[in-house]
Amino acid sequence: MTSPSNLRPIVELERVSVAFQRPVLRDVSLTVSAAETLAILGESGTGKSTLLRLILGLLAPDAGIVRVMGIDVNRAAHADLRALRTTIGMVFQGAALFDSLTTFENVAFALREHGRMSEAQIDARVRETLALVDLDAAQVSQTLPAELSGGMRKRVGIARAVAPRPTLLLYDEPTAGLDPLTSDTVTALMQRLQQELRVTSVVVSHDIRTMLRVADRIALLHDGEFAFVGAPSAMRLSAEPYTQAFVAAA
Amino acid sequence: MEGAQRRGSSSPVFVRRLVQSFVLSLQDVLLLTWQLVRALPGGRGAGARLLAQLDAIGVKSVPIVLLTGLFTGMVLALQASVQLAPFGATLFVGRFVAASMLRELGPVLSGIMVAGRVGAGIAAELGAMRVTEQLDALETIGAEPVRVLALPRVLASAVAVPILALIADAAGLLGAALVSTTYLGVPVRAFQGAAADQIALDGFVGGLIPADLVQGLVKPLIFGVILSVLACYHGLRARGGTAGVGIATTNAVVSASITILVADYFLTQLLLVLV
Repeated sequence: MTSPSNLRPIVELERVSVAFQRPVLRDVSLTVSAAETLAILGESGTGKSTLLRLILGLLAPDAGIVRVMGIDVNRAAHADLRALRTTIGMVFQGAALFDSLTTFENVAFALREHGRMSEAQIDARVRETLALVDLDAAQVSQTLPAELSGGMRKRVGIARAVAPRPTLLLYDEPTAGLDPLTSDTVTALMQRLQQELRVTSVVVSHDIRTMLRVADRIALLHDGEFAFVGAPSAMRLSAEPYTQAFVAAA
Repeated sequence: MEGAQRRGSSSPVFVRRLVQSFVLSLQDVLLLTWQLVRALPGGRGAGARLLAQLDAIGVKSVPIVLLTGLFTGMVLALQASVQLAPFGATLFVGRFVAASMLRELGPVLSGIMVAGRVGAGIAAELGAMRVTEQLDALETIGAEPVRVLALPRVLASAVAVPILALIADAAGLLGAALVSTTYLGVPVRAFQGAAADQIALDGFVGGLIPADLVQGLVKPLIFGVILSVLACYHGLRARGGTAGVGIATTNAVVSASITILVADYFLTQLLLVLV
């Protein structure tokens, strides 16, 4: 496994605070290194998904700095932020596939939008990526999202995110709402993508058992702060009371 | 007494909040309009997106506008005959209908009918995309929703509504002609002549284009922009699941219909001076 400490940070959160009606994140700092898989765990409503929105620049923090690949996402020019986002893939909790587009068009969307590939290249990349997520292109290409099962939708969502071969891949609750077998399939798929594409990943989840399997490091959010940041093996041994309770409840 | 005092003190607060809310919404709509202008010409795939919306907004609205125009023209002919018959002027029904349809009813009814059909559709579609994170997905891909979703809808609406208004005008005149000839006993040529006289009476812009037609095209162009911008605005800012989508859809139709009626008055004032 790559040692994260030897690599430059892909994501840097520096003393970030966010409040909506109440404080959600309080003065949190975190780095994610290249090719690392960081899992952000925590109970519902602790600000896990907020962290992803901060990284994408969809939300501005009340205080602090968010840098992705060295770019301050809140001070970047519109064109720079747009260019940065072309290097980030996002897997949404409900897949967020475009309803009116077929599976093929969904996976091809970012490739067409970025405008760097010919239609023949896009066609080849979409088929290759669908195969990567264990979907038969001939079978699913022309289906609409409404015609797919939950697990297939999730896999198409992953295919859409990885099709442009991003540097950074963000997952929002990738196994939420899936039956145990489909959840295992998606987890195995995430591990395979990490090995084959060597992409830096940030995974937001409340599923500690899955994250202990896929993550290089785990950050546990509690009450707007990180109660624990470290290796999965260290998490089990942590003396911090909330971390102990979270691990015990798993 | 206390209740009266509370009501008395809360009324200014309510009015102030209402005004604040209106001003903030107006600011957001103007900001969206500016973003739409900046998003021109729409980037890669803009042509295909525009054509798809011209079909959805324009072509698919033809039947509803055709029926609206037809029956409005028929009713106008009947009502005009009631007013004109005591003076023995039933022959002038064509003038009455031509002036009403071309200048007012064609543009306004087309605008309101399209606001109902298309405005509701746009707000519901964009609202559903918002609450299912599809808009966030677009942004993460680097495709701004304003450029990819709103711009083609606004451009298509601006192009389609004037054409739909012309269709409504034609259907209205046809409906009025049908009633006039079959029910009121007005000869077809008399109806045509009266309608043509009215158009000529209102003058020509540049000596060529009937002034009525200019009014009948400028108004729906602006109505098309109003209804689509408001529909996109309400759809893009939908919140709170399916209930939020419903609220956005209702707000889009109500705000577009009212704004069209208000704008119609000021546009009429302006065009009467200019044309």
